[in-house]
Amino acid sequence: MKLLLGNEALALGAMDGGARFFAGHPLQASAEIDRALLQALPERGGTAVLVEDEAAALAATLGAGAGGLLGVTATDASGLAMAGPLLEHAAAAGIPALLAVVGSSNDPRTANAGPALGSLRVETASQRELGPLRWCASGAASLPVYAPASAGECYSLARAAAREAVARPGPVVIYVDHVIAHLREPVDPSATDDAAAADAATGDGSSEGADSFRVRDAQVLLVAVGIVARAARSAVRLARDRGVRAGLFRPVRLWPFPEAALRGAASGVERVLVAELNDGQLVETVASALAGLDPRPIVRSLTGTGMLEPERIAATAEEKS
Amino acid sequence: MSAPLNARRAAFAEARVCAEACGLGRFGTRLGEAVLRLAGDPLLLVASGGCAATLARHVKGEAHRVPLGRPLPYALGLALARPGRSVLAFLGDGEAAGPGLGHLLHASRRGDPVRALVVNNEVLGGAGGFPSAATPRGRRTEAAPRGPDARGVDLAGLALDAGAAWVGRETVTAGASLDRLLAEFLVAPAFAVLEVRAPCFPAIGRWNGHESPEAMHEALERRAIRDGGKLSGRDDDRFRVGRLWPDGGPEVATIGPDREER
Repeated sequence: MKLLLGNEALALGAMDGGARFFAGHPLQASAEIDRALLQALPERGGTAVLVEDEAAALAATLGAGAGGLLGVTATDASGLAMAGPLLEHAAAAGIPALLAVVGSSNDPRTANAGPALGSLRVETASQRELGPLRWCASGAASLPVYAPASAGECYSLARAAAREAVARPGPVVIYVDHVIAHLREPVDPSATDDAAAADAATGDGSSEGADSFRVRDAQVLLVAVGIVARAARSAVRLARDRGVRAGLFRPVRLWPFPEAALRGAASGVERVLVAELNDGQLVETVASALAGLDPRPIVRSLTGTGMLEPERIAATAEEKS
Repeated sequence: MSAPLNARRAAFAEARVCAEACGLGRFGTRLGEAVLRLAGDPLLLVASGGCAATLARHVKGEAHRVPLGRPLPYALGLALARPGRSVLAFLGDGEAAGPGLGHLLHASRRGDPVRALVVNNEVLGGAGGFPSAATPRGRRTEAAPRGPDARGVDLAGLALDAGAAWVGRETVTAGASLDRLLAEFLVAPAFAVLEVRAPCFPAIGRWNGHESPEAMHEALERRAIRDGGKLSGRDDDRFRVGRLWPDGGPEVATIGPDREER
């Protein structure tokens, strides 16, 4: 058992999944991934380099992948904005790579700044990369994108994603909002169930790329990812304590969205509440996926800047209109 | 549609027919032959698009195509994944002086285990004859009748100043001199840069008073400064050729990654 930041767990999972190359351009939100890989990869016989910018880091990672070494790189929203043509190329050429995207701060004064400026706080959490990640390969293909909600899941999903990148072959993305990335939690690599992690990642097993909580008798279904999903889990309990049967649907595989699993979880519910830390990037996908259900639930959106607390989510879920 | 615009479009359509009047076709053949003479495993070739990428077709090796501007960092990853294999990256002046300029400088300062062949046709030929950042100041191009007001980027010079271990430059028509430089480049210590000046006739040559590719190439040779000739700081239309050092002149016998050793 290790006590690791989400970012550190992600780096460890990538290495345990087979990553042997790292190229990075350090950014505050993802710096712990860079530090962990720069230190540990050479000790494991791998190669780690720092390069001049985010595009160079991804390009070098792809070069290594084409050369036979599974590579990993980490970035934030700024690097994601540069990644499109490279990810499109990698998807088309079948080059394996693991890209970790750590969510940016929502602090407008210090958009890309980190702990030194105090912007990586729960109050400045953001999930504004949720939508862009769907078409991050220049819109040419929807890459597999996974969204862990704990340090332990950062480890297991990164490990499964690294293996998937080689098996496809192609680029695979792990998306972590900056709160999950900087939560220090127990991680037990030896106890990680490879099969379960792979199922959760690929949606090939019973989990269908998603995690559900108390959905069987739910009248209100919450949909959330990352740190908001953890708040929503508490909101489910709060709402049930007050007599509202709430449940939670959490996409573990963010893109392609696990629509079938969502329809299964939402069957029979009256209302669906999509909670996300942006202006509403996930709600349209959810509404579209549920359009064919009969009866069709009312889909609402709860967005925010800064953290959505459990009480606020629960109170919104309890509203009938 | 106005008559001048029609005429302009006709000229544009004509210009799209590339007859390799720049000389890159012949250079590609010689490059391919030079590579065949190398010992060891086949080269790993990295190119994006444009005229530079067409050179890779002449070379026996394992070809990798990448997005514009990114051959150098991709080549770095490839070289680190396959130590012992020679990696040759192809760059045009459009990408080397544009989105790839930072990569060129950082590869130079780090000493990346890569060799970069920069094909400088002095224009964005494939994009319709717009000036590249390496187009000399005032040189008219197909899409810029007055030419750029800004100084053109000296690609070999920047690589040299950034610390590249080996830097050379030649005109595409230099014959034996280019062959010698090319043979040296292919086994030079990395990070190595060879810039080949090969102006595009349809996109820039004929817009500057040259009636034929031959006339353009004769003018190109007059622009080349050989044997330690001096280069005025104000004249970015001319350029030194040969193996390059900060102080100029081929009398320096050895070069290394550290400036003090040169």
